[in-house]
Amino acid sequence: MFDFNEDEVERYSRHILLQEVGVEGQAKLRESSVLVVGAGGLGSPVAYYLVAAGVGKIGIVDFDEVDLSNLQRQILHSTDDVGRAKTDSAKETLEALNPNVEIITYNQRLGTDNVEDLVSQYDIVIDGVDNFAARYLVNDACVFTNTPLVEGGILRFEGQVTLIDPEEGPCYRCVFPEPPKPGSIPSCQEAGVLGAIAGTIGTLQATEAIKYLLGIGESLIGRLVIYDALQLSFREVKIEQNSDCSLCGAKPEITELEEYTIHCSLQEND
Amino acid sequence: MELVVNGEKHETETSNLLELLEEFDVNPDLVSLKVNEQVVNKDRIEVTELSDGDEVEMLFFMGGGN
Ligand SMILES: [Zn+2]
Repeated sequence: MFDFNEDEVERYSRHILLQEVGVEGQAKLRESSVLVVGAGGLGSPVAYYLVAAGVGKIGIVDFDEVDLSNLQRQILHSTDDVGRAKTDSAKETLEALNPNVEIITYNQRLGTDNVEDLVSQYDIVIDGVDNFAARYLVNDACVFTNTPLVEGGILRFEGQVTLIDPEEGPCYRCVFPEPPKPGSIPSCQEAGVLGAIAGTIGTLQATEAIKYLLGIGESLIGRLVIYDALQLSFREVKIEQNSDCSLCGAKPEITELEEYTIHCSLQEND
Repeated sequence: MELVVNGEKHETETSNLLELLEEFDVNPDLVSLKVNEQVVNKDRIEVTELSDGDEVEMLFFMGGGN
């Protein structure tokens, strides 16, 4: 009925055993597509688990090359990959893991000209970007195209995750109305992060995407979950659609995509 | 008065949001602030007055993909 071959049935047997997944759910995953924006700290575990899970089509966007300092957390890439395009390295790792999954790579910078087209080709988007210009761009594009988005971020010993479904709840701007000031941005200042936390948050993002695709469990819409590794605690902050939101509020000021330039330097105006 | 800051009870002398941030040594540029259900606009931080029992959330900008 769902025409999985013998190898696939064995590969996915621990999913199929789950009442909430079963052969039917596994077939649903095979019919699904996920866009992973960024093949870095978060994108690595996200893509790894989604490919292992048998999601049919995974898109990966990244414009960077693998750097030695990435390897402390970006588990898709290995020592021999230093200097290669992250998309190439990611594709190779992921295809070795599960050849049944179609991996589509976009070795390009996200901009106002390509982001809407990209996100609208997928069932759900996962944010693993390193800069806030891209983060706001992805959020805005997902709102404009009505595409669900799993947001995630990490910093030092902490992480956060939420699900944005533009039809049903708040967007990123509802909670973080404006991009941070130039020069203040933690990721640019290389504030540091414990590598394994990328795994914790990325794995939560992958799980939420799978839950969304299968339609099971309690959704993360309207809930910002904050993980504190030093305390080993999870805290949940209720977030709501903000009627003043400049993007999805009652009187939106943003009606088309804007390109943000957020500099990492301390120069305030250029 | 007593506030709930980031989910925990916090006894403080100040009723001003910016001063509360200073008390926590948090740079206002690095967070989005929520008081009860309301997200506070950046230019309103300095003039936001808190009352006993208010719930304040300091939500940090977190990036960290690449
Ligand atoms: Zn919004």
